[in-house]
Amino acid sequence: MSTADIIARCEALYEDLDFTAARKWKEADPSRKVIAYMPVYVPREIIHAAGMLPLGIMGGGDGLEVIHGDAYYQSYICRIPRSTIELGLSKRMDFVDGMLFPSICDVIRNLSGMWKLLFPGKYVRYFDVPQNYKDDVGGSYYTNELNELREGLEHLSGRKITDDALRASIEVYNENRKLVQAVYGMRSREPWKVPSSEVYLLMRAGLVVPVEEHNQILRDYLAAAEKVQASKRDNCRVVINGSFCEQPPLNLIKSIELAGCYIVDDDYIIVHRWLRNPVSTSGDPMQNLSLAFLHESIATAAKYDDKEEDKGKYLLEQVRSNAAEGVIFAAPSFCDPALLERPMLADRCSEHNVPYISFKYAENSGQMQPIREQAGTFADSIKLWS
Amino acid sequence: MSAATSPEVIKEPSMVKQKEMIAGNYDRLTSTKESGEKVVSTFVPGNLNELIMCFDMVNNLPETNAIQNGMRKVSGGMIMDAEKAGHSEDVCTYVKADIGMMGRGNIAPNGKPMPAPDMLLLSYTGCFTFMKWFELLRHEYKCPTVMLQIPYQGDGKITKNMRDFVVKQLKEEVIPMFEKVSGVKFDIDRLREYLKNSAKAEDNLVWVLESAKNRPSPIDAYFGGVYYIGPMFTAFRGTADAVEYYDLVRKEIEQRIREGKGPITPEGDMKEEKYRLVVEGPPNWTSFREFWKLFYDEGAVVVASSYTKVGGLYDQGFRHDPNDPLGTLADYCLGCYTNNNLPQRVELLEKYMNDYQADGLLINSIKSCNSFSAGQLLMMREIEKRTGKPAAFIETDLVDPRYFSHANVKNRLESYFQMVDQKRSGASLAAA
Ligand code: SF4
Ligand code: SF4
Repeated sequence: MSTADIIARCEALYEDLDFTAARKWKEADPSRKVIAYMPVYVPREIIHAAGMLPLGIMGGGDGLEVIHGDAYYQSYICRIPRSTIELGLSKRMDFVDGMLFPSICDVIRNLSGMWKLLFPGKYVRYFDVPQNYKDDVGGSYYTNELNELREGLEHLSGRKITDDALRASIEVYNENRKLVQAVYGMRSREPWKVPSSEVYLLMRAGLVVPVEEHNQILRDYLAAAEKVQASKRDNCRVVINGSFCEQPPLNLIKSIELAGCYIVDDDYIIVHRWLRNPVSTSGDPMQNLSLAFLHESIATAAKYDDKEEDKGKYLLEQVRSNAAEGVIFAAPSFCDPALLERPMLADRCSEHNVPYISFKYAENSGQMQPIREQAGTFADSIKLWS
Repeated sequence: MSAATSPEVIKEPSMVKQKEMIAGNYDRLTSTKESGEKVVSTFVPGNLNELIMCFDMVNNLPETNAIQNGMRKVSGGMIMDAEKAGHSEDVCTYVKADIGMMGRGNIAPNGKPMPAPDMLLLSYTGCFTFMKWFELLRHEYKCPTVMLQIPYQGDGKITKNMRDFVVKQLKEEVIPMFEKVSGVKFDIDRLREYLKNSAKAEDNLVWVLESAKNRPSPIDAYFGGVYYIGPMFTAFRGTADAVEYYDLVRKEIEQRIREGKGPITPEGDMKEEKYRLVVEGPPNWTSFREFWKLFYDEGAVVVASSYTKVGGLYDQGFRHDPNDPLGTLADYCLGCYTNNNLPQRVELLEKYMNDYQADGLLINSIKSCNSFSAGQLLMMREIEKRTGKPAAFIETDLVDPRYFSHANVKNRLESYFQMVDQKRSGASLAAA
């Protein structure tokens, strides 16, 4: 199988706003249930261990015509909640049995309550995570929250989630994390072989198909990408920051590449890479998931940095370890967490002489010319400096 | 969001008292160099004033400063300064007003510069922006910062896990940090005493807010309400001054009820009460007076509002409890209005509509504030559906004058009042 074949399948999954693959999975067995989740992170291992399919919802992108959703949101609120409501109201998510809303910002938080009002009878959980990273403070709180989630899912499925099942699921997701890292690693080493638009589609596929299938897709891709013949271009290497929730249109990613930038790291769809290391499979699995969250999760604007000196550390590490030459702050319009975080990160970049540019987008942005020009000028200026 | 400090209106003794209290706190804040007192900055909703007092520290609330600057019409320039310095035009204007104020020397309303905080208490109740806001301040001041995470009532209830988590943070994070910065040892009995004062004042605040059930209502529970909540929501809860203030207000309102008077407005007593409204959302501060005038000129009185609950849902029964000092602080933080989920917020507004016999709901949607605003259009529909009463939606901002359009708001309100009239005549025709 060539990378083109694999990516064509991923692109079809990405464009399918009826989630046919997930529907088919569910239809195969009447006892199956699907639990949807929004950015940025939920412990999918628990859903998986319940025999359910975790389904990542990233809004409607630029392929969805928002008819009803706009009536629920003022113009000064980002796009993702309105297109998500559109997906719900247009019955595209009618097969979904429950929905998790991670605590990432006030918009998603409030959307959890709207979902309760709009879809009574569905399992809806606001998934809270700790902003305190001590094992016995934030950790105990979080472990209890995870247990509540576990009980909620048990109630929904009518069957127990055993520790053994959890360990097995952690194992599968550890494999997924390893493969995802491998794809990212390969892109960082040879971005001319592994275009970012492809990496993006590969990761999007992981939101809508079972993890085992995603693992196979990733393996196939890694093998196929090795054989790709492509020549290195004189592009500059950049890290994208601020795109962790509402996603840019695929064209935006392509435009950045066309403008002469290799994206060598990013924060798109970070659910796959939220935990930097494998989760332990020995001992208490809930405890292990909790500790992994506390000590192994990456930095993002939705998290509190306990110490001032930690602000920007992860971004600078991304820059250093991927030999990036600059940062592109690309945030959705009206995205409070990303936009409030940006000045602090920008200061860190300046302190470390890392050039950066910033722009905003919406999931349905159509005009790419200005972004291409901005990214192009940025790439040129980096080349000039170096 | 925050309680208002005092814009001037006709002076009742309670107003004079409140003004003195606020001026006193600013004087205390701006003379810490001489007095040696330590300053803690913290947020209005779910603030821990009683605890702060236990460490002899002075409380500085950046939201209140932003409101002061909004009312004095200087916030617009500050916001633009912050935007020029790289802060996005899309984010909460309280944050930018605060950062812009810093850039202009952090001058308090008494004309003196405010001290840099010795500590930031990030009590994170009901809004994510708070977290980033104090990260931004910490980025500037590099001072000790302690986070108090308040879990959101996602399922519309406070669970044991949430409460335990908050208490644990108080014990293991917040109190030790206070002791370290202030050098004062924590004394739980001192906290109990302050909490007793809080509960006393809270009883009277509830009485005042509920006086709006009278016809005519002796208070305006939104524009006037921001004065009534001022001391309770800011640096005074737990003090003897606050107890005295709420005694005074209660007496004044009792007198108004006896005399059959409506609310006090900046232009004297409101005359005829024509419309009784429930309002959701914070007010606009840069045109506060003009905004209020659009209501009282039409005989519209706000009988209940959600904004006056951002610092506690006292009218739904919560009181600070000296018998469980840390547990009660946790309950308080967890229970503030914007920490309630959307279905709870809808239920509360519906209850207000019924309990206060309101003619309609008005939503003032604030561009800055996702915490309040995201979901308000659905809330509006739900209330209309459940009560059959008309609802209206206006859009303004807190402290950014660019987003207050007097003409738009006026038009919207005028047609809204017409709608209420039509609904009423329709109802009376149907009854006939
Ligand atoms: S895009 Fe930003 S503001 Fe909008 S829902 Fe996501 S995190 Fe929240
Ligand atoms: S977003 Fe709203 S609640 Fe949060 S700080 Fe701004 S005004 Fe206050």
